[in-house]
Amino acid sequence: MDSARSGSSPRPVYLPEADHQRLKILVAGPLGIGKTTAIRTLSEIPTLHTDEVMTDAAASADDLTLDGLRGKTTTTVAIDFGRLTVPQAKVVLYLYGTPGQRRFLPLWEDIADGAIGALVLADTRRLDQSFEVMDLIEERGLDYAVAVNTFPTSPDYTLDTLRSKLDLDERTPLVTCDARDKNSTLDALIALTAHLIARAGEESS
Amino acid sequence: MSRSPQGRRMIPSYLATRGIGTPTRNTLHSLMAVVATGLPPAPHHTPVHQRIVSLLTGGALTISETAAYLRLQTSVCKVLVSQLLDGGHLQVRVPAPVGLLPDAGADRPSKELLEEVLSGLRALRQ
Repeated sequence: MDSARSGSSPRPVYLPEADHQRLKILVAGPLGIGKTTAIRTLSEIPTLHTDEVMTDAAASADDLTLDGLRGKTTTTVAIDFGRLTVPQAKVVLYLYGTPGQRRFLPLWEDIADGAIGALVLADTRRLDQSFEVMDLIEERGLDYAVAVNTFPTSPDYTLDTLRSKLDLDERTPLVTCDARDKNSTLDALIALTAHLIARAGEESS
Repeated sequence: MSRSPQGRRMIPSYLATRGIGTPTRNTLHSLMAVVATGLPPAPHHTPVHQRIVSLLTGGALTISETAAYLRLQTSVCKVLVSQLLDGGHLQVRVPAPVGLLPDAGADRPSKELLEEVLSGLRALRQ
């Protein structure tokens, strides 16, 4: 982790002096799917994180017996985020890594607050783990695109097969993405933005 | 950053806010940008208040970033920032983030702004 987590805190990178809009986009998905990698690839500042505390209201939704956490009433969850300035649009995008499990629902209230859309990362070896996060996003009425993060050992399905396996709405963009590659991850963000424009058009017509 | 402590905070979060658990205003969002006004911290301010003012003397940051640099929970940071806004030590940088505007109709960014973002993102490809 080259974020604030490693001993020495990074020097603050202040916001541009010029007027700009700030927009929040969620990068969501199950553990280890590459959320932080994607954020680090796009972010112009070293990835930051805040530790958020979740109280017992959440614990009941999760089976904690397996990992010996029974009786634990608070959980600290680190939320990674980064920043991407789009100078041409005078916009600063904030990308928030958002854990995909339902047990993090209380955190979603804050993290998803004000988000304009979400990029859901999926892995073909465990597509089912992305269902939960897609449900959470749909429940909040957020528009999203799905980016299949390509790992070397992932089965190579066609996008049509993946779309049917994920049971995606035909309008929801589905792209492949290498979270380590800037252009590839930008393309996923571009697909999401194009989708948000299409949705904005539908709503105003 | 030299003013940030290495390792664990020495006091619990609830003491950093002087025991106050809720922000004095309910309009603070994590992407609100704040900056110091130049008014020096007052004697009743905790060391954490002082660190926030000192961090934000160099420029504007969102509440999320302020919390991350100072290793505070976002909710605690909101309480502290709202106290410092009340005292005139911090001010909000305008404009407020799109999507966080009080008007419910302004819940989403305009299609025009999104189109500019799309074109701007394409321009960032190498």
